[in-house]
Amino acid sequence: MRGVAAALALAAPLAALAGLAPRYGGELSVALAGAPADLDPARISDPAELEAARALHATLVEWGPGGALRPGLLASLPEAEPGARAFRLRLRPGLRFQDGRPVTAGDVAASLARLLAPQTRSLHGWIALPVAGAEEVREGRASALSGAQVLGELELRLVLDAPFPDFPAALAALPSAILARGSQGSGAGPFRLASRGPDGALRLTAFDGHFRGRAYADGVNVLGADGRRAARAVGRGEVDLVLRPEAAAGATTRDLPQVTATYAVVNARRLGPAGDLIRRAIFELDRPELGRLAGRGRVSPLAALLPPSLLPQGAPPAARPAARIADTPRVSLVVADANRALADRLQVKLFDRGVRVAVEAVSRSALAARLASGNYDLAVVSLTFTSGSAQPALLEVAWALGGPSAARRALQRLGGSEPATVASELAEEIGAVPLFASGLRASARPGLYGLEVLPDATVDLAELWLPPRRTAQEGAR
Amino acid sequence: MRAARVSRAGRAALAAALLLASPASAGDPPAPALARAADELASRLSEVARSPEPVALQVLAPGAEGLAGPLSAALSEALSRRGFAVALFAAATGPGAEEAARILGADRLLRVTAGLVPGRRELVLASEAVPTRASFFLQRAPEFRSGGARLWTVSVPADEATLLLARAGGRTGPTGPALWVRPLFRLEERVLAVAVGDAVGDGTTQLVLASPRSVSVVTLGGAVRARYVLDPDVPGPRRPAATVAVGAFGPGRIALGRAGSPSLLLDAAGGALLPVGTLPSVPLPGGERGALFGAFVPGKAVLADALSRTPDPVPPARSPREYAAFASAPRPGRFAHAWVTGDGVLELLGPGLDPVGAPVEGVGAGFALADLDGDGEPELVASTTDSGATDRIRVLRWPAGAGPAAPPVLVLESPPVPGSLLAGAAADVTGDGLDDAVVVSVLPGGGSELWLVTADPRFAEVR
Repeated sequence: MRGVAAALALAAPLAALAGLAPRYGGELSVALAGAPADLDPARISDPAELEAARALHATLVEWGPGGALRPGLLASLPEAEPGARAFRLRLRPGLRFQDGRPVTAGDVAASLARLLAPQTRSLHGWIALPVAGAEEVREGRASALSGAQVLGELELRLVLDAPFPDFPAALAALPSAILARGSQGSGAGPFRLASRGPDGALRLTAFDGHFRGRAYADGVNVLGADGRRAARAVGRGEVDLVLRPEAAAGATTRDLPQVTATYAVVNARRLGPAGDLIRRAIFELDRPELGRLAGRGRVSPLAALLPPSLLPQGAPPAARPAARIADTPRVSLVVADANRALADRLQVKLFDRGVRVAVEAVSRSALAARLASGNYDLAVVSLTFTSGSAQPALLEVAWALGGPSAARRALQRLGGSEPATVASELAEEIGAVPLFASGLRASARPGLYGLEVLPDATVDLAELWLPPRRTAQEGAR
Repeated sequence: MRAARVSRAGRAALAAALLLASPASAGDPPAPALARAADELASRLSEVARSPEPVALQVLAPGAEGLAGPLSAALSEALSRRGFAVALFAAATGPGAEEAARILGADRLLRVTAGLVPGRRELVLASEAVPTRASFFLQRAPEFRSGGARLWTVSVPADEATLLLARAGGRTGPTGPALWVRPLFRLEERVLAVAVGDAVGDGTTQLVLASPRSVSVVTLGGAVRARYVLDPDVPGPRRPAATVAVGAFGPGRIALGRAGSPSLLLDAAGGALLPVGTLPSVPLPGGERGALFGAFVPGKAVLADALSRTPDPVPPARSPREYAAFASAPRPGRFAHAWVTGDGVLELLGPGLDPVGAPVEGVGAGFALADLDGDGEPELVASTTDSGATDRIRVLRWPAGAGPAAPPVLVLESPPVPGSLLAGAAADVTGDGLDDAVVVSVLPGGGSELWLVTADPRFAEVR
């Protein structure tokens, strides 16, 4: 599946500048769909936070420009011991966090454990779930993972509960970024946070000690902007790059992989046989139409649990005429504020089929808590995948829609089945109906160089460089 | 009767045949290298031909036409000293030349092709001595025995006078000698830095190419003579950067600088490329005045504004400025070295490393300073800073006698070449005694193509 991600990786720069090597200096300005709300990589929940984490943090393994995995903070890719139940990790020597502290194997163990610790309120415990001792940490009975064995200052051995050959790909997901222990979230990414404005705008400065060398730009200003404001800013040359659902006029545009998937989740355990009927009714809805009406940006109907960039799939089954369901109870549909419009559409569509739905809009974190506890009848959930590979992405979706127990069962299944089979079984078990996948567009102003899109639909801002101040082609003539 | 047997070709050849009175033979002694080569060839002929014997002499020097006259004079003189009667041909080729030589009464035609060996300062005479009388019945003297055709090759080191004569016949244009751009070869690797010189210490010229993964000594034809594989996992900048220098570190020694790791001194004398030590600072091309050292800016793929003649551990930075590339002219004139900034601005330095002249804008990172025309002042071989997937090789010349702030004048611009020109170096690549430039185009697919810029007409056939 990594090959699929590799094929989708858009590595070629937008433009080449003959005769000039990449240039250092200058300040970049990047407009996102919204200012990143949470800068803790463990709580990434949307593309803006994912992009901020890409700039501020570093992971053990990375996606390279060609879409292949490469060592990040590690000196080499994790070596699997026979059976793929243990991996040996060795850090590059001389690594530093942005606060100057050295990056050690102890920081790696602590960063993995904090993904499961209740006080972190992490959305991405699935990354550390395979490691032995995960349950104890998740339940608050231990502060460290028993399977994370620190062998030395730079060396670590991770023992897993079940074989998971694609575990290195999970370590490339940005929520697994390594943080300095005891710090206020100091990372080892190419930029450090200089300031955060009242509107959530970020000012980042290049981190000289980044292990891949200093970023080309001296700094980056990251702001949230609506579509009209972003297009105006690009036109005036005030913004260099826009990552939003729609393309900005006058800019060079590139599609990013569709890594946000939207699902309807039916709690069959709570609704009983009616739940199955409601789920079938949602299956028979016109998903392309739903995507057109409620999705933003590039939207594709979804036929499987993972987006097509992570798992190839055919077209979803054709919509069927509405057939009324008799004797269904009134159900509540819990939804995050951002998906309110979609929930309203579903309410109407299900009413046509005899299902009376009350929509309850809640905060993003409240929705996550309701899903984890099973306290819902019907939910609409949008999930931004942080993993660029199918197997880890199945753990991610299982964790997000079905909670830790579903993720653990998915992990057991991944040991012996193909991802497509696991995806199908998992959708059935969770009661999920995939609706549509959506992706952003990168709009770069002419003259921005080094734009590379990674399989997780982020742009490595450290690779961007601005043209020379003077390109007097005629100067030497 | 004899005249009746002369064919049309023979008559044409005879009409073209002249007894030459070379200007060099009027009193000036020929260049010592020419005299030595001529003497060697004459002695070879005297071993197989009995003097006094009439010999028709034909000298050709394709691509180095200026050699033909003086070499004819030198050969005539050497053959005459050995008792041969010499008749010179100015122009006649093929069987017609032999027939014309026979009509002139010569028993033997000595045909000599002279030239300089590319990559070496070496004069080579390839000669054949052909009997002009193909059958016994055509013999002028019944006792003459030709013994068949003979082939000889004579090579001697070319001196400055010979190199100068070889260039004398070159084409010139309104802005000086004609310049040529031609491709050398392609590589699969991305070349970061190039140096030109005698890297293996055998008297020939090679290219030294530094890539992210290796350093290679490569012939002008693209054959790898030696390679040293580098450790790819060194902490460095986002894009790898390197410098490479030859010549100033002893025969067969190559100095390599890599951003983020210690500079290496490599030995290529034994046929393999082996590290023999490290250098405390980054080697830069220094030209004929010896080694120069600088420094990479930590964490970046750019050079600091630091220059030193000695390998100081930390060369003193002259300013906080940063540069994309540095180059030196093999033979300095008013300008000896130059930096180019990331913004494409060229800053010139004199032989004493002091700033001279006015900055030149629009110069890409792949550039070289080379005295291509031999006027004592280096020209600038530069790429463009245009946007696009192709680049152009340009040659700019500072007008003679103009003030230091005078801008250079464009004298050559190549058709588009694929990729981006990101490295360059200068040296006498063709062996004609003049500087040439080698520039490297990094191709969109990741490989590299090398280009030669020269005034040597032997390399004129492509562009």
